[in-house]
Amino acid sequence: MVKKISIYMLYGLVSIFFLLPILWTISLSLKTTSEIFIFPPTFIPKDITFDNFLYVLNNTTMTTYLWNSFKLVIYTVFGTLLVAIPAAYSFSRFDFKNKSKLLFVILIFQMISPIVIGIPIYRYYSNLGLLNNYFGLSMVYIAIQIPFATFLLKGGFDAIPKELDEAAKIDGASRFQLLHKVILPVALPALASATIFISINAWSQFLLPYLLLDRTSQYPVSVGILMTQGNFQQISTHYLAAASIIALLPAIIMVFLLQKFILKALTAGAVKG
Amino acid sequence: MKKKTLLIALIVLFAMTSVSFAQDYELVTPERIGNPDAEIVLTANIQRSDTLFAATDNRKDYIRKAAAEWAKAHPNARIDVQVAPTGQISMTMATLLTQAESGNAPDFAHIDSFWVGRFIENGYTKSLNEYMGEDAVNDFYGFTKDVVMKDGEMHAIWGETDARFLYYRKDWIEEPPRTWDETIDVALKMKEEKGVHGFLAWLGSWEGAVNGNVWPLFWAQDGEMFDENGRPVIGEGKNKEALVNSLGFLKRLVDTGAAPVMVSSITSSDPMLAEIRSNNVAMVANGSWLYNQIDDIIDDADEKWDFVPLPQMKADQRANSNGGWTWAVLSDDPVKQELAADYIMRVVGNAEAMAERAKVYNYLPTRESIYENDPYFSENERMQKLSESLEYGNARPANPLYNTVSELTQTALGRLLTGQTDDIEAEVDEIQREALSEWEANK
Amino acid sequence: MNKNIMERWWIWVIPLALVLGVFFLYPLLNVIRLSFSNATITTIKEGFTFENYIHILTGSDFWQVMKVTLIFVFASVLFQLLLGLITAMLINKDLFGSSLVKLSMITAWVVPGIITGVIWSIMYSSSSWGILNYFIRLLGFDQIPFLYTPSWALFSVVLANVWRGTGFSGIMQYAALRGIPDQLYEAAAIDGASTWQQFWNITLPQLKPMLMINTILITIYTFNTYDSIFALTKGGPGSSTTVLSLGAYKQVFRHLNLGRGSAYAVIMLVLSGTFTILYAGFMGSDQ
Repeated sequence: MVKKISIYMLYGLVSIFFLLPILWTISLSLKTTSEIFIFPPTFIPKDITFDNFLYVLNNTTMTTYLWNSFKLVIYTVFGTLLVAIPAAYSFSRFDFKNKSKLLFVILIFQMISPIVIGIPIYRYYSNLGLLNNYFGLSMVYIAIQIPFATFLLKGGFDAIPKELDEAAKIDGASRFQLLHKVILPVALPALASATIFISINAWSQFLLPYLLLDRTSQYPVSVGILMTQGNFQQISTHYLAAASIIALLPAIIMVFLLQKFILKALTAGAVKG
Repeated sequence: MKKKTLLIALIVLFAMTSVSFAQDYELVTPERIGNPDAEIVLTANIQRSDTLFAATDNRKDYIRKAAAEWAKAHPNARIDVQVAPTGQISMTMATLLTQAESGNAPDFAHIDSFWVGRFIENGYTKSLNEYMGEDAVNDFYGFTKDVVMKDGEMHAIWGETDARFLYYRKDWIEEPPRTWDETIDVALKMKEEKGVHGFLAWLGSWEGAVNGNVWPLFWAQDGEMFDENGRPVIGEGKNKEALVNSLGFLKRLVDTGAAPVMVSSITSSDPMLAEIRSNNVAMVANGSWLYNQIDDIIDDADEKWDFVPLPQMKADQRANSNGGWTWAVLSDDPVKQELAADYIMRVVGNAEAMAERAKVYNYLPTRESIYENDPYFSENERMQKLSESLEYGNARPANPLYNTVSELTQTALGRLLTGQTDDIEAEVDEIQREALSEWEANK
Repeated sequence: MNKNIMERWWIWVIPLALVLGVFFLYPLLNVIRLSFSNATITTIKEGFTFENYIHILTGSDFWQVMKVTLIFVFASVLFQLLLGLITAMLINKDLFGSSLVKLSMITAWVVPGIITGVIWSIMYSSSSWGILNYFIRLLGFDQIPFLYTPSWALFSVVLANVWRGTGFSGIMQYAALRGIPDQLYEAAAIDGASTWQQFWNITLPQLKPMLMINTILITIYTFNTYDSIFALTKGGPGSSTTVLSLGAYKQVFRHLNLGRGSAYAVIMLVLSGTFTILYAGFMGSDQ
């Protein structure tokens, strides 16, 4: 019993640690300008106001940013899977010399910071006319996600017994059919977990879109949040809080709705690492 | 019968207005100015504050009105606006420079005054003289011309400026300090008597810290950052002395407790306004905009707060640091150049536009005649006090190494304020050494 | 013939090779070339020079940055692993309420770096909206200068990073925990092993591969983090929270020195490469 209670207390502590910053930001976002200056601070605002949200929605294109982020995530997920699935299949089902070394080399790309490749790509794109272009930007996003996605998918494919392949092979299935009909349906959890990782990483990208897009109307939300920051001519803490919440809302709703699924997918896909 | 006629008239009227409404488009939107189907398309990079994303309704109204006039005058042209985020000045400016280098720059751009020199020097900007007239060129304050003039030609319009002051609680402090020593004495006295912060300023790791609180002190002692060849001299001879003194004063503020250590992390007005609102600070060194902000958050600003020139090492010294934004034409196409120049003049450059914009935005105009001719400025005591300070105006030098010097000074200031080092001279030597090595590498 | 080609392993890897080649390898070579040049953002002509490296390696600032980077990475990784492990073991108990913990953990994980910085700078503030300092005052302590003394600022950026990163580490370890067969524990329980012995002899060894992978990924990720620090402290006060990636950013975008920024980037690469190879060595010797 004592053990149970202490576990519950730990549950509480851990949840507070993770949730407090977000809850407090929500609280601030609902306060009036004068209430944010009140000390001691109030947890539940005295006069709940949605003015800050209205202000942010009317004065920034936060909704456009969210939509842009969403588009970029979709492109990146599809593009990455398109490239990573065949590669992961190859690494899982073919035997060749230096396979593990090659896989390692690919994983090494993962360690390269976007800041390193951002600068040359900017120069490179401005010559090719690919600036302000979602195709160009998505390609870089995809390149960044590929190493980990390949790694994750390979693990997922490895978990599928080879006997399944053999059976299908005997039936005369081609390699492509094998992948499409046998492996992919069984590897759904691995695909799902790759999708989730890719989505979350693509959602948080900051430097690349900032460098490769100049048009405000194209910014994703991670860059767009800067639009509400830093105007020193006025008090902005409560607006910033509201903007942060708006920017987080879609992701948080997704987490709430898909929580069970996300965990299942992640754990299923990750067991083999 | 009469009724019927009236009804028909109403229907016709309604039909007409709705038709004309259907044909009409919004002349000015946040990211487009002018006819959406125009043949000539200009691009412009503009800070958020000067677009329809501006913070307040009166600003938006000003932009909407001024931009619409341009749009009406040029029905065959439109401007596609790239709205730059406010908090990312160096990134935006660096991107603009790279674009100008590779020939992808927008046709005109809103450029921070301490960056514009680099655009002018590299030949990316176009002369605006023929669009302005000589009288207009001469009307600008000297400190702006130091930066935007090249071979007698004005290459950018410096649209507005600000100035730095010491704000103080006039109901607490009888005699506002004029020197550094007095400042520390008054601050400590306030801390003792009232239990409040004696002095606040935004001395965090950012440009505002040096521009607002180091350079004015440095310039007042005739300090110079670069010599006529562009070589950094900030850490040599009398300049070194001036910088050591200035940093030393700020360090002394914190070391003596006259200012809380908190100042070393402040990079916006918000934390200072919070203290002002809770009656927890006696003096704040900040810009000319602060007065209106104080007025926004407390009811009796007039009874509590007043401002004086920044305290200096000696009472007879005086200098100000003046920021602001410029507008420059970057296009190679003469047609676009003219259209861009016309926009700039209509929105910020003409005397009437500048005066109007300054009122709406809580800025200071950069043309002398406005302070004489426009009653809002000529008849307001506070405005005259502000304008008087422009005589002591200084602009940050248009040297490519300014950013390096500024960044190094910010770092040094942070280290000194937070007790990571006490050796001010060594820090200044380091600034000089680093800046010099960069200068030699790029010579 | 067609079928033959599909039987070759490399044909499946071509898209990957192309994308990585064009968007990683080429820019990477470019960065290495730039690191030996005196390019600035605006120069077109570039000359060959070692000056960037000499300058960086002999500058006093660099070693400070290295120190900060190592502390930041080490502390972040350690606490993300530890907290992640504890949380994973807690939610593995599957008591009522564990889903709240999972939910909160994933929520923090989906917050983008810039927004993490914004949210935590509000939390850490000394003004009325700084909730952490309010609690600290409630407990009867003095305010903590979260963002304005060098060591507290470093602590604060680590805490914000741990807050955001623990979700990933926790979930991965939770997954690994689920994968441990129950029989192992049952057998150990029959042998009379204590909880602690079970943890030490079963849980930890079984978790080891995942811990390793996790460590590599978190290390790389932390090494490249700069957005949350940027939004929190801009690298200050002084340069007390300037990590390597922020140093590279500052060189390129504040000093406009492309060459020196690239040299920073190359140094970063070398370092994270070393980490990766070290870990890989551990893993290899283990198997």
